Amino acid sequence: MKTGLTAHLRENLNHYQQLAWAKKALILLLSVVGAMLVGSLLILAVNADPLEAYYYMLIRPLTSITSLGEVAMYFTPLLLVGLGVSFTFHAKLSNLGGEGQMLMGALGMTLIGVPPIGDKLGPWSLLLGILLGIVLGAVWSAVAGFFRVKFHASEIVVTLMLNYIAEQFISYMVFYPLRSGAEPQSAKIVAMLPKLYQGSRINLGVVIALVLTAVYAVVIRRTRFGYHLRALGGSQKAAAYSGVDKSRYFFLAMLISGAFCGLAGAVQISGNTRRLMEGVAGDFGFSGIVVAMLGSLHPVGIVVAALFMALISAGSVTMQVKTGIPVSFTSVLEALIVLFILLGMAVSAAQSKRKKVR
Amino acid sequence: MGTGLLSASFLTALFASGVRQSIPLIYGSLGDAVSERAGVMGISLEGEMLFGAFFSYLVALRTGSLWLGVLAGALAGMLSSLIVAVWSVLLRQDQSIIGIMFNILAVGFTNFLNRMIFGTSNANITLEIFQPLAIPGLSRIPVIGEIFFHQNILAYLSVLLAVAIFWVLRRTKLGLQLTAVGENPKASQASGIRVYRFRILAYMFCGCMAGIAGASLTLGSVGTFTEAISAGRGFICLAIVILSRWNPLVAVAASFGFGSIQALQIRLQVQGSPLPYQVFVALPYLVTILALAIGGRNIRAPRELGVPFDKESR
Amino acid sequence: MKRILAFILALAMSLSLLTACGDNANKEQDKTDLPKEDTANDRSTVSKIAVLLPGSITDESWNQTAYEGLQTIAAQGYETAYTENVGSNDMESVFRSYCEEGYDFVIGHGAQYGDACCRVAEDYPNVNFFITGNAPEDVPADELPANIMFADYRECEGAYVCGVVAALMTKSGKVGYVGGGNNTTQQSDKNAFIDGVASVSSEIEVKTVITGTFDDSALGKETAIAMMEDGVDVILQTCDHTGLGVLEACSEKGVYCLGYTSDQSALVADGLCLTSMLVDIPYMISSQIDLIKAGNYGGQTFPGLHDGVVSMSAFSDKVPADVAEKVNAVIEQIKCGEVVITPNYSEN
Repeated sequence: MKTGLTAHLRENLNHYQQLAWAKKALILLLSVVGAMLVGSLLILAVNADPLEAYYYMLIRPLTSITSLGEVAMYFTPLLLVGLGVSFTFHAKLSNLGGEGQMLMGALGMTLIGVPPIGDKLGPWSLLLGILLGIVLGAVWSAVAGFFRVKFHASEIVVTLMLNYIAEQFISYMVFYPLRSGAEPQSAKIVAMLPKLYQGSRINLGVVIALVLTAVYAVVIRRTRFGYHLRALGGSQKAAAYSGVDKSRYFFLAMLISGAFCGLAGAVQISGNTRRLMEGVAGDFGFSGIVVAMLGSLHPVGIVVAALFMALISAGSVTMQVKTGIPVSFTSVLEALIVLFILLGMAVSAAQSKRKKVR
Repeated sequence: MGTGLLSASFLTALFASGVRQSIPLIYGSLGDAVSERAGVMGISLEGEMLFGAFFSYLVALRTGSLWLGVLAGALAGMLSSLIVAVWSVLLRQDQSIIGIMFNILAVGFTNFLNRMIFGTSNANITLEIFQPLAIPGLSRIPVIGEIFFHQNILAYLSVLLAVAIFWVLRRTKLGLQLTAVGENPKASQASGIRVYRFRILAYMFCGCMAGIAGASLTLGSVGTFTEAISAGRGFICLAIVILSRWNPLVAVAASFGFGSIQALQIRLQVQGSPLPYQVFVALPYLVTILALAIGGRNIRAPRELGVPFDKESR
Repeated sequence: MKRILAFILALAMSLSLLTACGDNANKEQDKTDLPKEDTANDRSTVSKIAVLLPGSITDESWNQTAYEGLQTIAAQGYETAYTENVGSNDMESVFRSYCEEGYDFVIGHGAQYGDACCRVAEDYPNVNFFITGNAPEDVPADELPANIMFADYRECEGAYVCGVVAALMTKSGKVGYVGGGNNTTQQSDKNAFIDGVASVSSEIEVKTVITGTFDDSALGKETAIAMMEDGVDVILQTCDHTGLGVLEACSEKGVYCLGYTSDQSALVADGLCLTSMLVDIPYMISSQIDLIKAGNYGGQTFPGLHDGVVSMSAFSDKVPADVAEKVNAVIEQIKCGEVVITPNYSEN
């Protein structure tokens, strides 16, 4: 019985995840190149030079400390959300609520960070604000987890609905209770994340995110929790037989995922915008999913993917300025990259299967 | 202020508006219901609706025919869904990721096309939209007549479609096979049903419906294409399908419910209310979650919904 | 599990340590970044101009007029650029990118950009900034960077006049306002509209709906229809794409409407668009260039009806002469300061 189950389990694990990382990296690289080639066609269609465009988009932001700081502004939330949704993806859960959870996290940071509470707590408001942000993000995600576990309602739908609700709730908060002055935005929070370098906006958030990447790696690879989580993603039936309480793990996965996204929101406020206002979560909720996917849920991969996506975002204005390509090209490029990577993954999976049969 | 709220004229107008706003939702959820029965989630509904909205407007404008526009919209939705279908079914990748990326692609691409073809200004090229069609006899029933039988032809068609789909799903071999594919693809494959083919076709049907839903926005409501005109309706359809337990007829009722809530939200604001407007905007989504909580106890999704099926696996 | 907890505790402890010393560094850094006294020469040349837009340039109003203004400037030989859909998480980055690329006049088209602009302006004292909106009110005026010009333009004056027009033209005694969101300009428009109506008669009811989006034309249409069912016969919309839906509904049902930011009468049939409140954004932007060249650019201005930045488009033929006369009289009163419309940002 046991051998049958483990064989069953192994077979059901995505073939792709069993490939050597070198091969995986190669596939990802080829996919990105492929997408960029197709993107070049679009660039040529608007009479611009693809090489120039990609230079400004990808290389230029790396050339000065100031622009690296801007890259960091995108990198940190992308990495955090990417890690967060990776937790759930391991269990084949889709947390599409990154945006809502980020917003709640941002709210948490703001509630503690602004006067009068911020004044009373001084520098401690930063830490406590971040903690509250983590908690609120986790709670928001837990709602969806609860619905999934108790009512078998698709977390896809619930997290999406919660996004809209969070948006309206934040809108209400910045317009009434938290409004400072005439604009619908909160007051400035008292303590910001310390900067790492003068003359650039790069701040401690990057360090926090990288440390959490290590935490992610440890939890997923070396703990029993991580193992069961991945097993759940492989085959739910097998996991049930091996004594894993599906519901509990689903719920915990959603909780942790929300915590990460909440942290991303808190970092947005304390590292970037300083005030809470509508739209602070941008589209990180979805871009984070792309990051997770691009990085194929591997810690190093996620970091590289987040960096790549951050470069694209940060470099888009420079690209537009120098080549005239509209900034919306960025999202088209993102989508193309995803499609190509999915193609690459699928092709390689088909190939390796054929090899096995022979 | 609240005196007019329960009057016949207010309620009639409210629900009539509810029907109008439910039309894109009905088409979208019908398509998604079929597709989910077969095991594929319609997360890319939003993007397909956009493609449908844009191309239906373009074709209707150029040819002068609204029906050609609807056809074009359906085709656009169907063809664009092919991408998602191939990736999720054949290449067996995660449906939610593809869906999301496709939606992002759709917004960018339709905006790009819109600007390329129409420049930055097409608001004054408004089409003559589908006019309300009164059904003889039935439309004269007080209240009910005005609400349900004074709508445009796309509305009537949607209900007919719902009935047809319901019948196909329950009573025909095709429908039963479709359900089997979603419940137990392995057994279906073993008994000779071509699972991949079914899923792809089901998904393309969903895309076709989504395209018509988009067309109903441009050709049945506003008369022109504005960027991101779908405005989240695709996601509401996903909720409707769950709430209606994948039953097309109930989906029509649920869509009507949603459309009416949207209509109500507006009218409550018009009547004047001390509540902040954000409450009203959030209302449909809050109601969804509530409905999922209340009615959610016995929801049984198609067993293999969202799970990629591998033909080769034993 | 224990290992994770240990990890997290370690993280928390190091965070708090860093917080304690990090924050002092931050405070000191802020102090040295006070705006320096600028020499007028450094900032009085303009060659590259960029605009940050909150929406898309196809909205026939707010964003599109800024885009058109930019085109006018470009035609005069300046190098220009723009970025659409700049949201709150992008704004500071986009500002800084343009500054880094050597743009010397950067415009944030909307009061929501004000706060981020202040931070960027401190780091780029040689760049001129312009915000089409009011300055952040919780910052004392003398702490605002000197190189930003805030144009707290009185769009609300136009909304007030629209209120007067609506009140004079309504036959049912009910008029309506459809807004998109909740920024200060929208709020002041709504309140001024209500005041304008009240100035004519206190019997007239004003129905207001905030749709919550500037991008859903179908919703705009349904909103207008709902209002009409309630008896509203004149509607002002200030919500870009959503507003297009409102105009469409009015066109269909033969109800009077009022246009926003640009002359929208061409979008509506039969002269139903009584007038539009115009904000000459192109002029507002291009006129800044002369001011920059004159040196000492910065501060707050309050353009409005009096200097032509805000104006009303020609009345449609549906407006009878006596109404037009009354409205014009009100406009004159505002222009010469007899009637003062102060922006009211409160929610009812």
